[in-house]
Amino acid sequence: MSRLSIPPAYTAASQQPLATLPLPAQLNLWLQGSRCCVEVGQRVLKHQLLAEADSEFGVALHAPTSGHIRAIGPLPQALPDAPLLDGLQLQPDGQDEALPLQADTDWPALSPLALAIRLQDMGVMGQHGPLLPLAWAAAAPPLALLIINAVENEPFLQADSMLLREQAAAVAEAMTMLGRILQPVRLVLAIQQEQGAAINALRSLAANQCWQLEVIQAPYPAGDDAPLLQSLARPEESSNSLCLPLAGVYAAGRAILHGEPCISRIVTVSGAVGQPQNILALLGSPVADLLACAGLPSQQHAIVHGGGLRGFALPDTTIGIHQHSHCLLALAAQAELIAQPCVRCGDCASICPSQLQPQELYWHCSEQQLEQAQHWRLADCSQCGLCSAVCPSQLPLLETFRQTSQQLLLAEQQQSATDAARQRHRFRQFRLERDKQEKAQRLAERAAQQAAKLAQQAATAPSQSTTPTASAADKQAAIAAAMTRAAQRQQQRPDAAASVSSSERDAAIAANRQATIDAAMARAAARKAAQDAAKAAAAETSADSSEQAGLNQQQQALIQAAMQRANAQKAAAASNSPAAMDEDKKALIAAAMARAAAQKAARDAGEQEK
Amino acid sequence: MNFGLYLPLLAGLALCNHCRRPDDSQAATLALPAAMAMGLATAIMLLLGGGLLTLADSARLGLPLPLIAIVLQTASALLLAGALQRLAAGEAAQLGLGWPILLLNSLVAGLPLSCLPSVSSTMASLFTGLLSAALFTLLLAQFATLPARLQRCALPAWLRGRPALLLCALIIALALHGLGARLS
Amino acid sequence: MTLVLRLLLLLLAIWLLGKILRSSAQKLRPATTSLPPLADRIDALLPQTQCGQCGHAGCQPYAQALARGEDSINRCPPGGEDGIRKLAALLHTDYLPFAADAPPPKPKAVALIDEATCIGCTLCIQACPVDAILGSAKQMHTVLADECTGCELCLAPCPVDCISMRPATSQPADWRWGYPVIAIKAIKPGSST
Repeated sequence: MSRLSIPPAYTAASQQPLATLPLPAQLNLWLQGSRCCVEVGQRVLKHQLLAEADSEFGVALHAPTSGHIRAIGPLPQALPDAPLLDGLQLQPDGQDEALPLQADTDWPALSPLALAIRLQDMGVMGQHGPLLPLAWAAAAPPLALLIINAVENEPFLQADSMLLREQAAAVAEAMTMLGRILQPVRLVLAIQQEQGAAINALRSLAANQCWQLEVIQAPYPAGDDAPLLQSLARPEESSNSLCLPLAGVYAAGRAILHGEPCISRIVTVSGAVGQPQNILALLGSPVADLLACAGLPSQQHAIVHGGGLRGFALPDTTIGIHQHSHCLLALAAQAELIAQPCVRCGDCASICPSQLQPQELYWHCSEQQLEQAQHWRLADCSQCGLCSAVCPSQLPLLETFRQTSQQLLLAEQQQSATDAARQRHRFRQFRLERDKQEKAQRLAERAAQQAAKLAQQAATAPSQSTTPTASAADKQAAIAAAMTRAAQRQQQRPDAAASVSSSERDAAIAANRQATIDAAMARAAARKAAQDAAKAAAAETSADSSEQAGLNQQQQALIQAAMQRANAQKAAAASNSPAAMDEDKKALIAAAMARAAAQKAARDAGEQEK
Repeated sequence: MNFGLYLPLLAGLALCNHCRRPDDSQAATLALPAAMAMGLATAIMLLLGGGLLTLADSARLGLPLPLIAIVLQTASALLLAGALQRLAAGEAAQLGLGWPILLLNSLVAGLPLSCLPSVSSTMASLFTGLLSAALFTLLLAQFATLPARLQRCALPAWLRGRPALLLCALIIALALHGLGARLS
Repeated sequence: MTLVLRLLLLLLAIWLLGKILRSSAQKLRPATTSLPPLADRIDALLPQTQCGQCGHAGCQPYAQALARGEDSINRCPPGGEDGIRKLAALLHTDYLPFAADAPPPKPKAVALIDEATCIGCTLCIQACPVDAILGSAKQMHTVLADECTGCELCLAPCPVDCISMRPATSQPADWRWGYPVIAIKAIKPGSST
């Protein structure tokens, strides 16, 4: 697009001097990221704090004029199909009674973080949230390049040019202030070739300053932050550079140097209005008032918020302007835009500044094929709206890309949430398993300790014989081990089933015990019967033959002798069994050592023979 | 036989090749490489068949020409299929270079070449073979990308899928017939 | 002469064919060898609510069952129809509508504990599969809304029924551009706009 072909309608607003909006009957202010600190019905003065920032991304809100708070409640936002957002309705009382402004005289001593916080408290907004992002200011990395973005090459936008023409000195002051506090290596004011009057206003001021003027030649969308950084930053600067909007910088200058919070901004009102012009309006002024000030269009029109390419229609003209409202357009309602099928003219591909293929991308986006859209590099789309503007079939390309990009972002967020949930679940499973193992280990340790204690008791008690005590200790250890096993088994069962299974187990154990008792009783009865039979038989045999009786006597004697021997052995074992065992062991060890020595000697001898 | 019949035959052959491709996502990602591979394989078979035919001509075997051509084209196709099977069986299978389709391509694309009246010298026959293989590759690539493009057209429901493809093949064949008739 | 030329062309064609075969093999091989196990790839598609609505103890067991081919892909209500489509694409099966006995999908919600009623029994803490409930015995519990997956597993164990599901709150930052809808206007014949 050649520079000569810019239609005069796009720059018509700059022909008129800056107008000031008369005080509206009502101001609609939003509480985005801020907490209201006034009440309904309260009278507030100009510059009084209405809401303070309650998050890192919110900014404070100040009363643009004196008046009464009419209502605090949901208000429509300046976004299509957006939910209502909490806001304030301020009814001006026309007296414009202001709080005294307190200029900060020792501003050169401010640190970047202190400056960022002060700007947040003064309600100065940048692209997203406070002018200086708090996280960035807290880290305070060395700043190589600071760009003040005054480029306006979207059709109809004139607000920044007007601000430069009217307030060049104040802007220069603000930039000097930012330069002193943030200490960038290079401070650049980027401006567009077409903003001739603004350039002239700045040229005289630019001499001997810490900032320099950079005139951008490239057409739209070269004025966006990303392409601007790309074109102005040297390779080594690109990682630590910052781009700030001009309106925010001007407001920052007013806030720091004069103590005046941000309560107004310049809005370009253009399009089919009676007199396109730039209007200085208080924040929260209804869109309808601004349009009335510029002369309402006679024919049917649509109100567009934003520039000629990226703007979107507003559903409601009571919506108040905010710090990002740089332009309002009344566009004559044309014949309804009815999208035709793509004719594959390729105009969108040739005009796309990111060298994408919007026709392919549109196909995949409208089919909701997110993977394919990513493959066709939707992420590189800067959403400049040029493809929509040139499309002969009037396809809603920009809207589709916006929507799909957001969907991609949402899918990414969802994926990260899913991954986090998976990780938390896995960790929980790991934790439960670990706890279970630790508990089992603790129980086993306790059982082992108990067993050891019992064994010690048995060893120290001299009156008891060793073998029974040892067996008792063994039994105790076995019981303890069984208990730990049972405990482990119980833990391994799911909690819900535990009660059921324990009752089942109790029943089983009871049945088992009953069966054992029955069996034992049966065995005892059988043994008794056998004994009875044997006694009867013995009586018969003793009565029958004396030989057998003699044999029996011999046997009995032998048995008695054996029992005595056994008793004696047992007694001996009881009296000095450890010592005997030790001696045995010693003897065995000695024998083994002797055997080993003999083997070695034999081996050595064999080797020597060899 | 003349070019007016031969070139539409190539279009039909390309459609036939396309219809034999499996219809899954992996085949879709490999559609273009598969088309190029098949085109190159056809070129190899035509060159091989033509060369062998020249040799056979000089040897003066005394057999009728169509029979020799059929035998030599079949032999070249089976030779290539065997070599692919030995050296790169997996990739060949993925790209759809099976022996039946190779044989079909070799015969359908190669036989008419030997009896085209305008191809008299060996040099001319060589370049005719090369050009027909190049055209065949282009047609295969065309059919490989056609379904995705047809999907975006607002076609009536009864025309979607195979019928639209057939229609496209018909149009291409007609255009090639016009071209071939002018050539011969 | 022509024979030599023919031979050279033949060699060139064979070399090119070899190149194509090798490049296609390279294109395919990373896709087949370096992939994680099928169960893990299925698990990556599941919504990780760990709600057990599929009849398994969590998303991973369901993924393992799917990988073994023991369950159908239409049993995950939190995944929605989109999830079924993704599973069908991964497993090379047809799309199936939701199983008749599976609970219907619900909009995303997070659990909210009525802090006045909570008696601090810790039963919900033990039930939460992602440790999103904070609290200790006889102390009031609360749900970390950012971590809550909306699985509703904490509702049943609560002895005083103080947990309710609330739809995920809509913040101003949650605003999205709507899908562009092109208005179709009936134009009367003969009228010009």
